[in-house]
Amino acid sequence: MNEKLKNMDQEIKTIREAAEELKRLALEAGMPAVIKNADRILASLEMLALNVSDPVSLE
Amino acid sequence: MSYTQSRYWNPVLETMPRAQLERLKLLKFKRAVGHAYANSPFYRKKLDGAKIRPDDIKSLSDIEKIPRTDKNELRDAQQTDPFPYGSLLSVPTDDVTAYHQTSGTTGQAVRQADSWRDWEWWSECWATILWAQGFRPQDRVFIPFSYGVFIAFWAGHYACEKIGCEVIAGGGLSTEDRILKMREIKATALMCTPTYALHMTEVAARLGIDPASELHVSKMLCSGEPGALIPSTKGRIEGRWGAKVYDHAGATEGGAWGFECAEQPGGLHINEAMFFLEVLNIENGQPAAPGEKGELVITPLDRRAQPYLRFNLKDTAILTDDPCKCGRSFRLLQGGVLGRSDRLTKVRGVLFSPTSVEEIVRGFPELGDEYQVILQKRDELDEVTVKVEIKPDRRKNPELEERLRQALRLYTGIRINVEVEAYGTLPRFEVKASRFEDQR
Repeated sequence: MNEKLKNMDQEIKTIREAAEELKRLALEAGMPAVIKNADRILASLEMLALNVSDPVSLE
Repeated sequence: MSYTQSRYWNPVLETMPRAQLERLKLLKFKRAVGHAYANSPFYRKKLDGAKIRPDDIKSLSDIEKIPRTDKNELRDAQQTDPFPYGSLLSVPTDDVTAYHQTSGTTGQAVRQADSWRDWEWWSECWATILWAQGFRPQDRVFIPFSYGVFIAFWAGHYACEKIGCEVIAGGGLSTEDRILKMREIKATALMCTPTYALHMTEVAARLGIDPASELHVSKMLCSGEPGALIPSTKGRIEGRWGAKVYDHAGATEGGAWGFECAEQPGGLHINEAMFFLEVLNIENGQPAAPGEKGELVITPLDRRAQPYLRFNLKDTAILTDDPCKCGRSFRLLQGGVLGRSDRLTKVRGVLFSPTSVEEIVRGFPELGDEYQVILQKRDELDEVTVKVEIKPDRRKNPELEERLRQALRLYTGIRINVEVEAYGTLPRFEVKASRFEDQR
């Protein structure tokens, strides 16, 4: 399970970086539809972090 | 194995060894204090006043250095800017996506701000609860509440969606129409207050419908009042609905922190991965020993828009270290929430909790579901009167009154007057029942 959790944690970090970059580009382009949907992705990613990244950080 | 067969929403968190769980709680508590100090003017002032900095929290025992938060402080803080949340708001106002408020039963309502991120957190907490109670994507969940300004079952609705259940928002319907709709669409699960669960069966009976045999509900989450863990009340609801009834405890300020699992262990698990819940001695504020009744103080560990540190819930409970057959490492509150510490009162020198009356009244099959507890002063002496209703197919008689009087005296330790009223004469409640009146 530990290895699987670590892999999941890595994927979460990768997706977060991608979502943050997407939001940055959308802010530059002034596209509310992308900014607000990226915000929702980031909120979901925080829940994934609570479920996965926090326990991994205790290792 | 299909993921739907998993007993846990998150097996890693829910079965985490205790030592690791304590480390997780400390990590998150420090983070919560850091966020509140950096972003909440209310908490910065409060912590500065107590000469506490986030870095001072190095172990779980340091948590006691943080002063507790009372509801009155929240009311005062909300008189300040920015409107309407005041100095409790800890994110930019543009980030707030949901407004709710407390019921205001103990004074001015407290307004609660949540961001979308917090709303995800709410539904995450609720998903843990619902999954533990057997809610699965196959369920069709009926939610008969008003969908108004009170938080009530709002997050339960979103959690059902997160799990993948089909949700029916039964808010705009009368009780009769709700029952008919549940029958029509074959709802398999329900969430409501225990009072309303009983009320629905009364209305169903008037419609000539037997919920146990004619509806399809197999599980119910009951919340908002302690009833679902009061054995006689649970028994009444389960018997009439032919369904399993599970308790859940939460608060607008505290979040959805407690749940009864499918094993029905006679208590509530504390979701210790998401909340730091303390049970403190009512007299001296020190941690209560397992088995000792105390009052609950909560810190939601992951709440951000309007966070709370060591908030006094004013609920009373008994912590136990007994393990649960479900395998969760989350500790249990034996018997769930037992009452309100601000409603504990001394009657002729004996500590009396009005909630304790319910277990006895609902244990009498001759009596209806409603009751009232009234405290009065007569000739300088405290008097407690319990008003109950006789069922329509039963008759009032002195023998019943005497049995009830004796049972109440045995259970509470005080002499209680009993008045048996005609069926349907006491007030009915749909959301939070208010059955206690102190007229002293």
